[in-house]
Amino acid sequence: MTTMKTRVDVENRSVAEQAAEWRIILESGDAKDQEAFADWLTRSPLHVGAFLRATAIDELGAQIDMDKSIPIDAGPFEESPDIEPLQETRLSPSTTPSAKRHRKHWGIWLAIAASLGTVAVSVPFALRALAVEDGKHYTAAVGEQRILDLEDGSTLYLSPGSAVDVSIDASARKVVLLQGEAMFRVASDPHRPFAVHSGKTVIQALGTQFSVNRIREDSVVSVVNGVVQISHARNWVERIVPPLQGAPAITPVRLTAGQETRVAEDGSVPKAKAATIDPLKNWQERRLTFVNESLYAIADEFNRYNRSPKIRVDDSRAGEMRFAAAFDADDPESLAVVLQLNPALQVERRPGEIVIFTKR
Amino acid sequence: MTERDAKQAAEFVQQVAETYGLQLHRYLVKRLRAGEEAQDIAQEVYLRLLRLGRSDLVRQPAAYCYFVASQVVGEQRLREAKRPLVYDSELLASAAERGDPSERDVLPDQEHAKREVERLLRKLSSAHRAVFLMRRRDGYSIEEIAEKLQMSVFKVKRYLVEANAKLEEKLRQGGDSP
Repeated sequence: MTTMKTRVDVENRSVAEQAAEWRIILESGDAKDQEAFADWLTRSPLHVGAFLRATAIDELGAQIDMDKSIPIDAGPFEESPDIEPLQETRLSPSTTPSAKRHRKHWGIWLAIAASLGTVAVSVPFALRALAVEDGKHYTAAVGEQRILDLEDGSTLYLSPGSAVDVSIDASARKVVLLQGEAMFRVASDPHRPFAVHSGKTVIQALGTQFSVNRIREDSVVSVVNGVVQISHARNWVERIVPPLQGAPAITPVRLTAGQETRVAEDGSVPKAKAATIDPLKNWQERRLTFVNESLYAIADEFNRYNRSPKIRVDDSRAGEMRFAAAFDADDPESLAVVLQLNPALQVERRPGEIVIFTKR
Repeated sequence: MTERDAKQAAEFVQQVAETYGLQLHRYLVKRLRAGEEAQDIAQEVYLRLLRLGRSDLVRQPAAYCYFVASQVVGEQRLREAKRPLVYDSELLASAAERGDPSERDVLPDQEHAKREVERLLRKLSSAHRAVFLMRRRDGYSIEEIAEKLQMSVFKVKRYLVEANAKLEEKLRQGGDSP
């Protein structure tokens, strides 16, 4: 017996196919076909939606892969076309072994350090060793947006003025967000957790789409699809020294689709709330949306998108003022116009920069 | 309505459908995944098509469908822009009658959607992929594809239909997400 859910699925799929079929019929159709199509269209809103989507996909098909990099097999094709290849698991031979060696070496070294009680002395070495951890470094220049296909099938959308380190090996996938903002579409792989490190915050995902934005000392995490878990990265001292009594215990927080949260530098994670920002929309439309954000942070965000004019906030009273607004990221002048309307602020346009300060 | 008026109206609809095709298309692609919202739009378009009357609709149903959808989408965008924000650049843009999306708006959005389709295409069977690419990317006719791939016209159509539906399904589900 068919369950309710599968019946609905089948029905939906067949509507999508009907819609695509009408697209083909209409290409060479006569008046009778038009009439039949009009009847089909007005039979259900589902038909209308499916037809619009089928059109959108065909239109997209006409714009993709201009350099014809996707090869066309010459056939003959097998009878049953209903095959979805499993995703290949590719390892990166250049990064895997050395990264592992590093960690191993490191563990032994830590154990020795701990047993000798030389923890404090070893700090500079520890920092250096962490800094050379194997991985690839990617940046997007000011104003530039980049889409990167990672070797595990995940996609990384790098916002302007942002930088990441990516290391992927057989057991883990790790992205360090060094500055700016990145959105991730994570290829599902239960054997290799996907973690994003932003400052001391770790965002862990399995088959998910989400974004992380480093706004000054904070990390704003927003989930488009799936679930992520946010925790506090323990540094190596914290890993070997048991936490002091009375120190705040930081428990991981789960975030689901449509939720966001803002992790402070101290690692405290406020409760998840409904997302006020749509990271996908912002990325696609190059928009900056702020909900109760300091002018310092707003200036930083604009400056990631524009080489000139730069926004400079001249005094902390102005810098700490908070605003809710949405901007075209490529138009810093619009920020200047909005701030001019604020009686407490003065805006000065100088060569290459817009300077904002409180009225004296 | 006289025959001449009807003809003019039909031409107007066709024109609008062509002019706003891109904007509508961008909007739809973006909302493929926001299932509920896309369904709201479809519902509204459906109701308006019903109001239109059958005699007008049968003349060019597809053009009317795009036309009405572009109206609904336009209204939706206006409503969205009225979210409780102190300032919104899109409002300013529409106030200045820069109704059309600027070129730089289109680029990252289109790029994203194209990448997505390219990625999903690689997951289809080789037959689906071949037929879809030859038809849409390379512009071959269905008959030409049938000849090149040595399969029947019926089969080519079948693969085309299935490829479109599969891409739609995958896009709507958001690709790889579980």
